[in-house]
Amino acid sequence: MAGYGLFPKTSVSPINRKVTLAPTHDGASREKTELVLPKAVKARGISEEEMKLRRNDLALRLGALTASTSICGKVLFSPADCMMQSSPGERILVVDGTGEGE
Amino acid sequence: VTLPIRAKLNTDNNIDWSHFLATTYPCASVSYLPLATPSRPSTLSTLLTQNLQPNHTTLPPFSLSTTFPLPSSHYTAAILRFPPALPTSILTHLIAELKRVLRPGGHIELIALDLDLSKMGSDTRHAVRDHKIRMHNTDASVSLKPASDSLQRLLAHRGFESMRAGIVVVPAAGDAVEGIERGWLRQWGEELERELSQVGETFRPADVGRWWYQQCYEGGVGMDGGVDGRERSIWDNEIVRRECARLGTGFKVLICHAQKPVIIKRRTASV
Repeated sequence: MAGYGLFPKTSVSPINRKVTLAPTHDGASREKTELVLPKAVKARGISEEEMKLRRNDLALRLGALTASTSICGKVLFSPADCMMQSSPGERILVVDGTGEGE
Repeated sequence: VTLPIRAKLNTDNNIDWSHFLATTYPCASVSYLPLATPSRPSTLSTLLTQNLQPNHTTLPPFSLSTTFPLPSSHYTAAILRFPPALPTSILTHLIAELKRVLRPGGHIELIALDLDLSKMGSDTRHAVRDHKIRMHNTDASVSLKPASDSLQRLLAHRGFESMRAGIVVVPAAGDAVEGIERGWLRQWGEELERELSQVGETFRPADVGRWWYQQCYEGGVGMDGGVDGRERSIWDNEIVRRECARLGTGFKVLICHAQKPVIIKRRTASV
């Protein structure tokens, strides 16, 4: 989009929300910042049933990816995991057959 | 042992893998290319609402049989997830294009579902065979070979290195994790269940497996669970589901990754 000029920028921006976590052992309070998207993201014409399936789908994919490491006896990892150790500004292309289509 | 689930499942934007990656890796920029087949064309209105994360881009769908309008050697990682049933020529072209857009040393990750299931009983075998015939009658060019074999062979043929692959079996029927007699879900199911229960969801691996199957193999032949007068899915057949639950039939999911060589082999010999 911004880089390729293929797609217009959106005017909707994510919001950073502070979440209070359980205090540490010495009683100090802890906070973390969480990225929250506006409710507009819900307006995608997806039914509640499909939303549930997609959340399950995500958990299952993550679980399968992790479990495959142990069950296959091989070291499998996600390329995205490699990227966590590399410099920022990396680019990932996702081609997904289960992504949204109508 | 704890699963490294880094996703915040309760945020609305995490329902697609590309959005999950964009949230998990805020430093990376994620481009999402929906695989729009003739039976499942993506619409612009749908796409317009998807670019809500600053590091997430949805690319407009384009023909899989032509050169992608993406620069060469541009991406660090390319992820192909659940490709639908495609002709072998298109799949070959897709892998070639993914290699082209990857920079040298970049990774490709594949997750694909096989058309055949593991531990099929006679009813399931007949249902799948009939479905294959239906797919072939709809489009004779569509490959009915196991996607896991085809994709691994294509990766090797295209010169990808350091390939690692494994098959994970996801149950085709059965509601409870306790009902799964073997496999990774017995080990990891409780953890996944706990993660999902935190966001008020029930863990339904079989439902997701059947949904993957429908997305990959039933959409192309107009089978969509009986919606809009279309033919019913093979998973609407109660006899098939009961048999799958009884025998522990499962979907075979290929998880594979490989690396584009850093030094590309020369096609000509220097004299």
